[in-house]
Amino acid sequence: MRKIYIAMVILATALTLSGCGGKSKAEFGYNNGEVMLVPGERFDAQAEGMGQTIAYMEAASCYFDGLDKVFSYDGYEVTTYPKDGGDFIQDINITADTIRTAEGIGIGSTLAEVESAYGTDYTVSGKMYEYYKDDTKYMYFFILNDVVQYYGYGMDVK
Amino acid sequence: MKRTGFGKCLLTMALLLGSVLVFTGCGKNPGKGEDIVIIPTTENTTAQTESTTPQESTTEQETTTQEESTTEQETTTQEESTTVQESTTQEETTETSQTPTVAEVKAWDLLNNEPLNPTTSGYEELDNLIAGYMTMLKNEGTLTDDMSPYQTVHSIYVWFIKRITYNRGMNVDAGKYSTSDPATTPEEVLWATDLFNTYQGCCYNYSSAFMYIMRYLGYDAHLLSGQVSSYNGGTTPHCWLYVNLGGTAYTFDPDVDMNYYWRNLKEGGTDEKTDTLFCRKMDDMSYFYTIEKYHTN
Repeated sequence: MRKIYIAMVILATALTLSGCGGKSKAEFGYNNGEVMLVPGERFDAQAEGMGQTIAYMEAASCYFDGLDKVFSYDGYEVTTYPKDGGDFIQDINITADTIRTAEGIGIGSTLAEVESAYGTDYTVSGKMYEYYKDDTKYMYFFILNDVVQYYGYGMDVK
Repeated sequence: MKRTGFGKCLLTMALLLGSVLVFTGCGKNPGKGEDIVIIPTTENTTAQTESTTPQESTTEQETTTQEESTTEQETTTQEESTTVQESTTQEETTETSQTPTVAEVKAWDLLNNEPLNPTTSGYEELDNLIAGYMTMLKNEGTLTDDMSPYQTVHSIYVWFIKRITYNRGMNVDAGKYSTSDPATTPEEVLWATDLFNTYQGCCYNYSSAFMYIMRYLGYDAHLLSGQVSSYNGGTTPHCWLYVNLGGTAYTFDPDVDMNYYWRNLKEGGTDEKTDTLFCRKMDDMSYFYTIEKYHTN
């Protein structure tokens, strides 16, 4: 019995250290409660858990061969770019103040609160404060007059 | 053959006319020179993804170097073959590093010689954003006080190409990233403010923002929208701008040039492909653009 207990402790420790039991890089993105939306990944508006769009726009891409699309849902928007015959997520833009990050930041937060939660290692693009996860993907906060107006998860698709 | 008085008169008039034409620049063709260094060298390859790369349709190419344009005013003429690139290789290789490339010379002359009359949009947020943007460019060293008008315009154009993040969604809700009232602010202004507030946008944002920059610098710039040739045939909605230079309209298209620049890099290109649609004579671009609207703001 004691050996089994020790084995379970070792297994749990290994899983935790490997990231299976904790927060991992794969969590970069927005989870709507049922679907994890991550910039750069394929998007399926018909997928279970996506719900109904409240608005939809498509337009010929200025950059890609095909259509760029914007799917608007209650509280957030998903912008996609065309690739390999499908739609891939470029941006998830949070528009509802009820949706907060895991650190409690959201629309209405101040720059000081953002910095307190995420640090000061950001790139400022106009009034966008961008925290890069890698060379192309970033979390952003659009801050006007010291108040977060929108935030989200984006990707430089160039 | 003995020359008569009438013959001498004719000869003199011809010489005078020729001199006048050369010195007034009529021997130049500003709309053609820009094309030279920009056509993809691997045209067969790029045709699969960029079937609409602008190509020269004329048969005669006239070029000049900066030195020539400021001193001797001599022009050279060469026959152009099926692609502009083929016809210009020799000239490119003979350029010195100190002398602007053939592509730069035309725009160089046009932008440097144009009388400047700086104007603002009259919309407070945009005008403040542009002023702040220009200060930022100076602080980061993109612009310096000793730059010529051409260098200033070109530096900002390249900055747009390299720094702005393409985001087609920015056109969905114009003014979303602005404090201006969408009800009383023209969409052209909102497109520009959205870009300056986020450094993101699509063709509408790129072109309107660059147009207001050009006006800020003193140029007579205007926005156009309509259709542009698409990559795989057909056309697609688009927005670009033109600037009146020396009484002639020249187009600028930072959005499509952004496209060409990044695609070229992805395909392994090592040259700075930033000027494909920089300062192109508008009359020569009708095969590429279909104008549907001359914006008034």
